[in-house]
Amino acid sequence: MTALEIPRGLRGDPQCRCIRLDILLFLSFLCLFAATSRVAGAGGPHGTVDLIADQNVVRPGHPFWAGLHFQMEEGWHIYWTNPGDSGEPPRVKWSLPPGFQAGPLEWPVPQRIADHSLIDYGYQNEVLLPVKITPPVKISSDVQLNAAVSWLVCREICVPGHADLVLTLPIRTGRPGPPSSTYSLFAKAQAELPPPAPKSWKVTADLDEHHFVLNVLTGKRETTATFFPLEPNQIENAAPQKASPLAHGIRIEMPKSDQMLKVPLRLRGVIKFASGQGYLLGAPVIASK
Amino acid sequence: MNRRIAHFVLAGVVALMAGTAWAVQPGSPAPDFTAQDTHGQTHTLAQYTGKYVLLEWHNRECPYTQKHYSSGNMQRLQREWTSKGVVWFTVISSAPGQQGYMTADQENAYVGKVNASPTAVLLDPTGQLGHLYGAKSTPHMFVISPEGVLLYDGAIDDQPTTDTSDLASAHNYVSEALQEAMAGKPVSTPATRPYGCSVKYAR
Repeated sequence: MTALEIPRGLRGDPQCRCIRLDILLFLSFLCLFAATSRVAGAGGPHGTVDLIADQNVVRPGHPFWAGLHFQMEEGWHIYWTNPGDSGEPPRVKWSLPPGFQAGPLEWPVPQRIADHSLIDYGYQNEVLLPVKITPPVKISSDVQLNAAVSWLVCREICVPGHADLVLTLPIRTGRPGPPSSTYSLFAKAQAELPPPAPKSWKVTADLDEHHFVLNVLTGKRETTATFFPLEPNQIENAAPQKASPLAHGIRIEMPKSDQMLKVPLRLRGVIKFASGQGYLLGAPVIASK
Repeated sequence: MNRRIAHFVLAGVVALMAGTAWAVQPGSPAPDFTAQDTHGQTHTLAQYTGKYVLLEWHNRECPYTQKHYSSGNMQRLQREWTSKGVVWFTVISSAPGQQGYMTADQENAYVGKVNASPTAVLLDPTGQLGHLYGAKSTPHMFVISPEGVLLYDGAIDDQPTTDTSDLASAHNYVSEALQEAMAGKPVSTPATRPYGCSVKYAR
């Protein structure tokens, strides 16, 4: 019997109530076939992670976006590039075809997450971390992107995750192919990536014995904002931030970290406004004594 | 005399009021503490003046702690440094009902089972010692000089992963701090961001 013949049992032969060996072999063959095709997603602890792309084809020489799509069980979180008081951000090691380049993981604006009287910076429910992939101008065969991903997912306890993900895409020359079914996830993630603060803004950070005071003059009064530092050991993550509106911006007072040994040249991080919109900024630090 | 006492009292009150916001800073005096170990004995930092003291925050179920214990790395470090006169305290600040909380008997059984060699294990279920030092993760390491000055505060090494294969190439900050201090040199890396699971204080 070949795989194309429909076994008698599947045609509803009333005389066969048993599982026929040939049906079993047929189904096993199907399973084997499925296992050796691409595995773009994996179940991890308390969630899943998928390797996705914003298009279904690769055009030689034309960069596109791949990404790690994490979906977490209720209450569990993964971490931002600066995880805060504890935890570790996801890491990826790429194995790509010759000539392909992968950029760094890009980070949508995070949330403050309370963790046993400490504060972490990260994501709950779901997040897509985009990565820019640049193909070379000459590609010889179907493209296989391999990502070895390690991450930490926590709630009241922490569990490490690891997945080896593969995404295979055909080549297409000429006009672009259609966007992938996950394109809307990329659009959402891109909207959540913080752009650099406009050059018209005036940004400074005063440092006294115990506090940073971040002054961000955007040109209009801002009601509230939260600051997420890119570097560890600068602000005390768990201390509440005091945001006060200014006529032309906002001021945020944040206790400095005990572990800050040297005055930094800049206080770098993401400022997130009430709307959820975030901007990357680097405030020159002026220390007063 | 009275005025001096008043100044000390005032300083103490201010220090207490400051609470955890400005817990400790490398180069500053390490806060004195009183804590009980798993054999019911009380220890204070002050009684160990003249010795190096190391505090290792611990949660046996945290995968980062497990990396150092399943590999024998932490036990090896404990033996190496206690044999050189360091007083090594493993500290458990997990609150009752939280991950890593241990009774004295449970912890003594665990120490025997994993062949750990701390000088003692301090039980801190109220989190008082943890908050006093600003312990954030497990592991989180503090090294204190014989004069009571905090020399190092931070990660055990520079490989913030749960993978035991990263131990071979890891740069151990604790050993480096102790080696440098014992050789009379300044500690080149006094503070790093500690890596691990959050300390499971009461929620």
